[in-house]
Order: sequence, then C-alpha cells, then structure tokens
Amino acid sequence: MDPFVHLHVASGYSLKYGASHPHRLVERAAEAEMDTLALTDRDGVYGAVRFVKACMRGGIRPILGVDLAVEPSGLTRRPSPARPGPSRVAPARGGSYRDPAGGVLPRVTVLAGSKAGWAALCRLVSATHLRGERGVPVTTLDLVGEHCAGLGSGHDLVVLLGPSSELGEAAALRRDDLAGAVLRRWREAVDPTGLVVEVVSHRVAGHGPGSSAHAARMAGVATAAGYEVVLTNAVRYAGRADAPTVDILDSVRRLVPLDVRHLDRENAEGFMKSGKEMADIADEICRFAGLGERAADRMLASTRSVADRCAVDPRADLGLGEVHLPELDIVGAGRMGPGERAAADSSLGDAVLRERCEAAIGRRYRPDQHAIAARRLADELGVIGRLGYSSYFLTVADVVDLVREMGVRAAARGSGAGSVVNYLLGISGVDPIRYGLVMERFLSPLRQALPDIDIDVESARRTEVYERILDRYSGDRCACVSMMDTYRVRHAIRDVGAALGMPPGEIDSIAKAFPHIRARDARTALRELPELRASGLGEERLDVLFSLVERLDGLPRHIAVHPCGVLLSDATLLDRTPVEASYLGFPMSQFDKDDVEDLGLLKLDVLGIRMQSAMAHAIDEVKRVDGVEIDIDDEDQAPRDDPATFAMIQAAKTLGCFQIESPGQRELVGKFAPETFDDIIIDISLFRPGPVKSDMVNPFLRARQGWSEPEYLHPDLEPTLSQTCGVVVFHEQVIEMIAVLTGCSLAEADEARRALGDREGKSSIRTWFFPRVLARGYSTAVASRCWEVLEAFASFGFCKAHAAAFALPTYQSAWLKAHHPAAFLAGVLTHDPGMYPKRLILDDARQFGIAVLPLDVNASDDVYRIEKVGVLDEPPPEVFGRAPRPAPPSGVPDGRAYGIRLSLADVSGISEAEIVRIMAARPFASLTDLWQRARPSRPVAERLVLAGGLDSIYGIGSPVPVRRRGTVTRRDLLLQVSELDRWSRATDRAVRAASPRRKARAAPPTGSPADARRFDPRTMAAAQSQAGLPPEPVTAVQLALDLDDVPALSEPSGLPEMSGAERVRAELEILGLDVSSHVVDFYAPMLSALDITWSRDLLHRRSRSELLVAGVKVATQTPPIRSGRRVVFLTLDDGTGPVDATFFEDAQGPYAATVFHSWLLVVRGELRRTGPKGVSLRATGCWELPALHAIWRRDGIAGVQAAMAVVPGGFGADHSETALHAAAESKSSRPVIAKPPSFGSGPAAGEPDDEAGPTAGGMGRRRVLVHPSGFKQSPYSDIRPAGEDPKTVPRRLWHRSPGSAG
Amino acid sequence: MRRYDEVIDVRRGLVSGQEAPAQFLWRDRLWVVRDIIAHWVETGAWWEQPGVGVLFGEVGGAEAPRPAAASGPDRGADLLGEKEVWRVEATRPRTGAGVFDVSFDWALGQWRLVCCVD
Repeated sequence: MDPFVHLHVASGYSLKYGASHPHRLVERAAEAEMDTLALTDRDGVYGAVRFVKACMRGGIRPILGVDLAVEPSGLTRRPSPARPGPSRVAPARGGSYRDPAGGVLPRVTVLAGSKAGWAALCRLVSATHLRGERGVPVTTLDLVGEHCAGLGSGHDLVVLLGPSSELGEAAALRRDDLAGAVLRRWREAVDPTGLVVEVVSHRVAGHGPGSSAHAARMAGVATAAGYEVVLTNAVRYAGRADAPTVDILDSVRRLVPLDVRHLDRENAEGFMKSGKEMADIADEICRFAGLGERAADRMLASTRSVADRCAVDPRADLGLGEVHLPELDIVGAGRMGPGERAAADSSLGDAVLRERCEAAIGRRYRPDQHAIAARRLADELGVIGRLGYSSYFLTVADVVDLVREMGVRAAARGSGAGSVVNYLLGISGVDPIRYGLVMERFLSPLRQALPDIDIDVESARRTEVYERILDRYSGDRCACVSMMDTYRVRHAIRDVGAALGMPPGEIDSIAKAFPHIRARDARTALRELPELRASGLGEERLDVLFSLVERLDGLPRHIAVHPCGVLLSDATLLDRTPVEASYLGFPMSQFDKDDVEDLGLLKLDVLGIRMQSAMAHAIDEVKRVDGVEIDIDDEDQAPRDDPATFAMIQAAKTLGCFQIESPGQRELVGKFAPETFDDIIIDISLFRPGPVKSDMVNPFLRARQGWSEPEYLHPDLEPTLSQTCGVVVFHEQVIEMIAVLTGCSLAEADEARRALGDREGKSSIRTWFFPRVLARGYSTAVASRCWEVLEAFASFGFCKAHAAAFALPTYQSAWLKAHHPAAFLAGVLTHDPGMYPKRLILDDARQFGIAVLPLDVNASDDVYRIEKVGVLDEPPPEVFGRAPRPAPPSGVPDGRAYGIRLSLADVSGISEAEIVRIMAARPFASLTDLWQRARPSRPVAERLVLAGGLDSIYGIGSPVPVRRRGTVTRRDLLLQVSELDRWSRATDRAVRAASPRRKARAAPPTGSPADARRFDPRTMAAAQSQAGLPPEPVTAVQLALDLDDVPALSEPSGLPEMSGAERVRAELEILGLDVSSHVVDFYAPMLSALDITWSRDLLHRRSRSELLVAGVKVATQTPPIRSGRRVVFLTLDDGTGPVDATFFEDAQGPYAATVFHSWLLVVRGELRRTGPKGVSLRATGCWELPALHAIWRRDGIAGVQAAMAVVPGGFGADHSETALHAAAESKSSRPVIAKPPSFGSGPAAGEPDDEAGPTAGGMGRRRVLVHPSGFKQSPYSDIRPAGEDPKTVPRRLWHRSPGSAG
Repeated sequence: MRRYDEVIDVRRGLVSGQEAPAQFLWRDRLWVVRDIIAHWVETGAWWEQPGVGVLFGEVGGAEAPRPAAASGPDRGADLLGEKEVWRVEATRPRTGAGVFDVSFDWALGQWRLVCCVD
C-alpha cells in the first residue's frame, strides 16, 4: 500500500481547469495502491457524488473539499483599483484578460472532515456563490471564519494555505514578515488546529510558486510558526500525457490562443504522482529549506494524518442513500389543524393521504365503480404506507394544486399514471382502472427507489410555476437541479480550433460538418461517414486537431439549470447541497439529477411543455373570438370517442399535434387508423425505439387490419393480449404474462421483467421461470414459446401508463385541431411546440382553408391571433392577387371562417419593449405616427415596412408592378423611415445637450456578510439574476403632437412597388415565413419542365415508379432501425403538402452532404406504398434546387438532366456484413460496439483478427451497437444530424440567383 | 551567458547525494560535475511544433518532419516535449570550472548542453 494521499486534486468538474474525470483519478489512485484520495474542485463540489461513488467502487476512502478564491487582504499586493463602471456583459474575445481585476486571486482549499464539516462546507460554498457577482465566486476570510465557528476543533473543517494563497504570494516575494502576518490573520478567523500549510513543488525553474525553492520557503515559515505542513501536488490531470489538455483548457477559459504567457503550467509535473515520486519531492524541498534529516518524513506523516482526519464516510457523513422528504406540516399545512401539525409523523401522513384519496373517489368514479376503486386504493395505500412515501405523494399533490390554482395547465407523465392514488389526488388525468394500468410498474414494495412523477406544465409559464413553488417551500427547502453541459464534438472542435488559432471560418465549417456525437468518436466518425471524408476532413494534417478534440470528451464545460428538475426537501437541504444562482436568478443545486437521486433528495420534474401552452392559447383564442369556454379536460365537452377527431387522425392530417406529427408517425397513423383512445395509447407505444427495434409493428398491423388472425400463445393470456391483437407491446403486458404463467404477484413479475433486461438476469429468471410454469400445468411447448416472446420483448416494450399519460395531450391537441383548427394552429405558431418550422404549419393552415392574414401594425399582437373572416370567397374573388382558398377535402376540418393573423414577435430583431409599445400606442394613422409613438428602432421600422406591416394604412396591397401614378409604395415608406431617423437623431441631440445625463441604474445589493441579514438563498440568488429586465410599462401613449418639423410623407417617388418574388424574399428574411406565396412556386417553370411529382399527387402514382420530388427541407432524422445501419429520413414541403423520402446507406455516400446542408432540394426516388393513405420515397439521388435552377437558366432542361446524371465520385456502393456475432456474444448488459476489421496491412492491436471481411467505400468501416437482445443499432441513430436545425434557418431560404431584382 | 544546443554524452551518478549527471563529454572533452546549483523540468511550446503547424498549411505536408509516433492515444506524450534541466558546476582538469545547463529530453532520450552560464 502507498501511504501517500493527494489532498489537492482538481477534476474536470473544476470547469475548464481540470483535465480528468473523477473516476479516472480514482482509478489512477487505485493503480498506485493508495487507499485515500481527495477531490478539491474549484468553486464547488459539482463532482463530489460521482467521485464518492467511484471511490466506493474502487475501495478508496474519499476526502471532499473545495478550492475557493479569496478576496485579497492587501498585504501581499497593492489593492486593485475598483473597476470603473459596471462589469462587461459580453465576454471580450481576442486578448482582453479574463482573470479578475488585479490578476489571479489568491485561493485556499477547504476540506470537510465530518458530517458537520460537510454541512458547513456546503453552506460556505453557497454563501460564496451568492455574494457578489454571479459566476465569479470569491469568498472572504470572514466568511470562512463564520462557517468554521461553531464547529468542534480542527477536525470538521481544515483550511489549507497553499502556494496560490496569500501565504504563497508572501513567499514568492521572499517576505517572511508578510507570511507571518498572513498566518496571524488566518489564525484569528480559523481554529489553529484546522489551519494547515500546503507546499507544492512542480520542480519549475526559479523561485516562484511551483518551484522547490518556493515550497522550501513556505515550509520554513510554517515550521517556524508551529503549523503542520502537508505536501500536495496540486493535481490537475491524472497522467503526465494529459498535460496538453490543460493548456487547451487554460486558453479556452481565458479566451486567448495558446501562448506561453497565457498558460498556468510550465511543465507536466502536476499529475497524480506515486508516493515514491512525492517522497523525492519532499526530500528536495526539505533539503532546500535546510530543515534537517527527518523533516521530509514529518511532512509526509502530517499529510497522512490530515488525510486520516478528513476521510469521510459516504453514508454516515454525506447521507448517500438517505431519503429526505419535506416536512409534513409544510406539505399539508393548509389542510391540518394546528394540533395535528404538532404530531406530524408518518402515520399522520398516511391518514391525511387516505382521507384525501377517499374523498375523491366519489368525484372521480361512478357509484358502481366505487368498490373496485376502493379496493385498488387500499392496496396502493398499503404499499405507500409500508415504504413511508405518504409525504412524497402529498408533496407532489400539493405542487400540482399550486399549479392548478395559478390557472396553468398541468398533466402528469410517466409511469405515475398507473397509480390510482395519483388519479385521485388529481396528479394524473388518466384513470388507471379504465385503461388497465398497473401500479407495480410505478411503485413496487420490492424496490426502495423513490418513485418518479413528472409534471408537465405550460412552457410559457414555467418560471412562474417555479417562483410559486419557491415561495411555498422557501429557499431552504427548494432549489433547481443543475445540469453539467459536457464537451461534445462540435464544442470541442470550436474550442480546440480557437486555442490553436485556426481561422474562425474553417473552425465553423469543420464543426458543422459533424453530427452531434461524442467528442471521443470524432476520428471514428471521420472513418465511417462518407460525407465527412468527402469534405476533406480526413486529411492527416487535421489529426492533431482531432486528437486534442477527443481529449476533451465529456469534460464539463458549463453548468446550467436543468430544464425541469426541482428539488424539494426538508429544512436541512442546504446542509447537503451547495446552491448557486442560475441565469434567471433561481437558487440551483450544484448537483445534477443523478447526484440528487443518490443523495436521496426528492426531485420533481416540472417540465415546460410547449404543447400545453399552445393548447392554453387555443382555448383563450376561442374564448376571445367566439365567446365559448371550452374545457378539454372535461370528457362531456371533449369526449374521448369523438368521430371528427379520429377522422382527422386517420387522414394523417396531424401536423402540429402532440406526439403524432413526425413523418414516421403520420405514416403509422395512416396505416393503423386509430379509432379509440386505447388505439392512440397503442399507437404511441408502437412508435418507440423498443417496439420498432423488436419489430412489433408489422405483426400488429397485419392482425389489426384483419390480414391475419391474432395469435395467442395460450388462451389464458388472451385477456391480457387481446387489446393489442396478440402482440406484446406494453411492459404491463409482460408483467401480467409473467404473473399469469408463474402465479407470482405483479410486484415480483415486475422485478422479473426488469431482470430480463440484462444477460445475467435473463439466465437467472429463466431457471426460475420454467419450473414454475411447468408446475402450473402448462406444456413445455407453451412455456418455451412464451419464454422466447418474453426474452425478445421484455426489454423493448413500452410502459403503457407512460403512453396513456402521453395519449391524453395527444388526443386533446387532435380534438382541438379537429374542432378549432385556426385557434389551435395559432397556438402552435405562437408556442412552436413541434419539430417543424413555422412556415410548414402556416402551409398546413392554408390546407384547412384558413386565411393567412398578413402582418399589420394595427392588428398584429405579440402572439398569433385568430380573426373571423367571411367565407364568402367560395368561389373566391381574386382579391389582390391572393390565391383562392379552396374548401378542404372531406374528413378534414373546415377552417374557412377564420384567419390567422401573423405575430409581431416573428419580425427579426424586434424587442419585447417595441412590441409592447406598438400594441399600446395603436391605432396608427401613418408611418410618422408609428415612428413617434411606438419608437421602433430604424431596422425594425424598415422591416415592418418591408414585411407589409403598414400596407393596410396606405392601402398597399396588389403586387401588380405598374400602378396608378401617385400611390404610395413600400419603397416610398422605406425612404421616409430614413428621413424620420435623421430627424429623430437631430432632435435627440438637441434634447440631450439641453438636459443633464440620466442617472445610471441603481447598483445591485452587494450581499456582503456585514449586514446582519438572514442568509436567504432565494433572494440572494434572485439578486444575481442576469435575465434582461422586463420592458418598462408604457405610461404615456399620447397622440402624436403634429409638430411642423416632423418630416411628413413627401410626394411619392414613383418607385415601382415590390414584385411578388421580392415580397416573398422579404417575408422569408424578416419573418422566416413565406406568407404571400410559397418559395417553391418561383421554381415552378423549371420543376414542371423536369416533370416533378407534387405531394398531393403522390398517392395517385404507381408504386415502384421512379420519380422526382422537390421542396423545402422541413426535417431530417436519423432514427434507429433494425438492421443497425444509418438511415436518413428527409421531409420536404412543396406547397401542396409534405413529402417523405428515405436515404439508405447506398444513397448516402454521394448525397448525404447535400441532404444535411442544403435547404431547397430536388430528390429522385422510387415510390413505396406504405399503407392505404401512406406513401414514401426510397431516395436514389438528391440535388440542390437553386444550383439546378442556375444550370437551367444557362443551359436549359437538357443541362439540368445532364448534371443530374453524374454521380459524385469517390464513393463505392459495396458493403459487407462485419463481425457482429462476437459483440452479440459479449456478456455485457450494455450495448457493445462491434468493430469492423481495419483497413490495410495486418490486424491492428486490440481488434479481433477473425473474419477479416472485405471492406470498401461507402460505409466500409461501420460500427454497430449491439444490444443484449441481439438488436443492432447504428451509432449515429437518434442523435441530431449534421448541419443546422431545419427549424431555425428558413430565413435563408431565398435563393441568391441573379435576375430576381431587388 | 552563451547559448548552445549540442548533443552530449552523459554518465549519470550521484552528485552530493542526488541522482544527476556526474560527467559529460562535450566537444570531445570530459567535464566532471562538482555541484548541482538548480534542477527543474520545463516544457516546450508544443503548439509550435511542425506537426501542429501543418494545421494551418504553414509547412508543406511532404517535407514536414513527422513527430516520432504520429497517431494513437500516445500522441500526447510527444506533444509534451518535456525536458529535465540541471544547472551544474563542472570542472575539467587544468582548465578550471564552469556553470552549465544540461538538459535531458524524455521523448528522445537525448542529452543536450543548452547553455554555459559562466
């Protein structure tokens, strides 16, 4: 054993400072046979739980501490001049020094040695973060002293003064007198037995920190003053070879290119050295210090003794695995008398829960169901009582009540829908008895884990909900969960590229070429993905770049608030987790969602769901315009068997609907034709990776459509399996099958189901399963057939309760779309919940006959509104050249009585304040009026004009270029905007010169510990909020005083009005929407010459015919499919509807780059019929539409056809199956990567050299993820593909071809 | 101080109780180390190596000297370019004494005389 202990170790959780993951450090310590290891990350304990768990696995005693910056006392350096003005908001790129003013701050390390010490450490970290500026945690001597006070002698907290402390600075100045003064200061604040001097030698040259001479001086001073001296190595990386990573991190943190003067390290000695290497260092230091023979041994012995004092026990000291629920009187305070509150204990909790549930039975169930419900309730309450989770359920119910009281829509998701308690408490809206959901999947008496209930709320009001929860539970019991953003390939490329000083353009294009994979797979992806190789990224010169990129893999780079997790606990929460302020000023735990679970804190997921906001908006709009209040949660108003809703779903007109709008889902609902709410549950479950992977979909559809008889494994299973025509789809069915066949309880059956997920579990369940099944009289044939099914399906089924919880908003959104299409789509456009760009939703609205009303400063709001319009245009007069609105086909709701008014919020660059002013000050009579009262910025005013926002005021409408003389055009208005801008600037200057400058905003409270306020994380975090201030309320909306000097609209200039094409271009650039006509329309002449098939005609084309389609890219997906290959799904929109095309591997080589990086596409493919209403294209080629258009203009149609006939070279189409079975044989329960044999000469080290199959071109070197069940998956499935997100970029759609005059 | 960068032969041994270069052969002359004045470890600017320079196309791909081990996870080691430096006082019979910086490159396993201080 190696007795040396590293007491000062930074892991990657010291953001952009440490280079190694905690588990790597622990491994390294274990290799060196050390028995104890400390983790002292900078500014926080972010990695503590992971570290402690790694230590428990590795048999190492953990020590936890933190490395904090301290405000300088002024002893060792001149006090830095206070920075003038507020700190900069945006980081300065390019040389501005990013370390705090006055250079690098001194730092100390604080170690926690006990439960009380850990609590004090957590509170010290919280207090440090919550004072001063967010993201710049600097502690003070007083604060450290405050948190050390009240503890026992120096065992609970130990303060290490190292080379980067002020003591170290004094030593670097070679001022022993100052060193003494620094020590005296610390001794006054901290118990002297808890004050230790830490010396470090990295053997750098000279006398500064890190040199042996410096360490020797510190050791000398400390020994003379009678302090313990410990030796550490200030570790930043596990192994010597990781040192360059630290250089990259240093330059990334400071936003400067690599250069000696920006880096902290001078050599590669700061790694986890062995005890022997450290003993050599100790010798060298003591020899330099002249401390005599035994000094080195004494130094190592004190290091060991401090380590022994500080080693913590994960369970006793940190409380790992304990459960801390909020106190009962907080949860139920309003509902209990004061007498009861005193007796708050678990039996009381059970009683309160029982009372509340029983009271709800009468409300939720018909009288004839009461008996069943009561029995089920008694069962569940029994389990909850035994596990002691009453308080948990009451807490969740309390939160849901809070949300509902605010008038915010809320719905439970997840397996919680299977519990009748949740239904009765109002947490879930799905009746588990009616839909056959079992509780055991959610909460099992055999499992101790806290159940998981997620609550979906309206996304637009999520922060309001958080505020309310925080108000209720206070900052002592409640905090947000954080989330560590770690390096993936794109960020790593950007940061490494910037550090190396590569040109920004080159970095950007390299980063965007990659799909969103892990950084460590960068070079593997280069070998595997043909489009990357084609772009020249495989060149050897980039090898250094990618080797550095891979080193950053998974290192934390940024902490952010988790999108949904809220921690609720008792008043000791802050003893167990430090908190800091989130960007919006919420207190946020330093632990992420996995950590808090290990710590036994109740984490409630409150998810903001945009669909809930969209539905709330739709309901509001219906109420506003039609005066009808609808409650979609009420089954009398929105029955769950509404024929109109199902007719629409069956016609696959489900764009915008929750969960069933993706191309794959539209294909599935087209085939499946759901008829009931249960069918929707099945539909959602089928379209999941699991069922798709294990091929449940086709057998089910065959039986469902009556093409084959449902088959049941045994008549006893029919009640369970009849709902899905004999196919196992749900976890619940697996549970029930096991229970029926073996006669065990549902809870045991669920344990068995979970065990089936991995290989060892599977074999042990097998030996348990067969004897029991045979003993119950089933034949061997039945038993083995059932086993086969269970084995294949168990790990891949979907939880029915989860699907049922999803089905509710799915159905509700479909119901709204079927009955109030305009209001619903207005909600979808406002809150943008789905996967498609808004322009596709707008196109969908047109197909329902809904009028699309243009932007209008006198009518548009900050959201999309609906307006009643006349249906009279049927047949429509061609007003202003707008296309007529045809009646939608049958089975599709008719929305012609309504129009959707575009929203101001989509005008690019418009601020919230400008929208508020425009809405408050209207109506406007003229542009001058708008300019003066709404005070838009000049670019926004110009965009409003260009997008047609003022057309209604000036009667501009027709795009006919030649008009009556003297009419005002948009071009005239643009000229006037510039005149107004000149005028305003001139008058502003005059006004400013006359009046004194306004006072700056009041400084935020400093939160210094001097004022004896109570420590309240809620208000302190809020004070650090960096969110923008809300727009000032509009107080004076005075009418424009028509002063003579305001430039009025002069004579119309006679400029022609913008043409139709110019308008669409302006709309796309400004709104991101093509309002007046579809983008593809402008290519129509060429497209008809090419004989393109339009979306609406696809259904009538013959299957297997080769055809061409064209359109705007609206979605690309790479979903998992059974063969383990990468498949790219592409959805185009051509103005008549969506077209789905599939690129298999053979077509990806030459065309993948075009698919991922271009926006307007022509695709060649073979038509496949997928169902009665479904067609899809198997793509064989893909070209950029604008490029073809350019050729067409030059060379005519023959040139285009010639261009399309050429296949881009360099890609073979030859594939080979590779050695998959080796991976499939693997005993691992996790997916294993099967490596293909390598290229070139001889097998590379570490790769199996059997089956050296031929590999060539295309996807030659293809890895495949092999799941324990034998299912294969492409490593590139289910990750965001390369290129930019199709949702974000429609503003660029406009082609830049010459000739479209502008 | 005069700078050199010359390969030398070194015999290691104990000098005043530490393991250090005990003798070295420089320009065919043998120097014996009497004392160690300082001892440190330094790293070069690895990002200025030719292997990194080709990133920018600064050095022609063909003539660029490839670092020893061009690929694989061990790449980091040769990016380090760590050198251990001893500042020693050495003497040569009949000539007198001098102070030299003697460095050892861990990647190449090579001793060099870097400078003559005195």
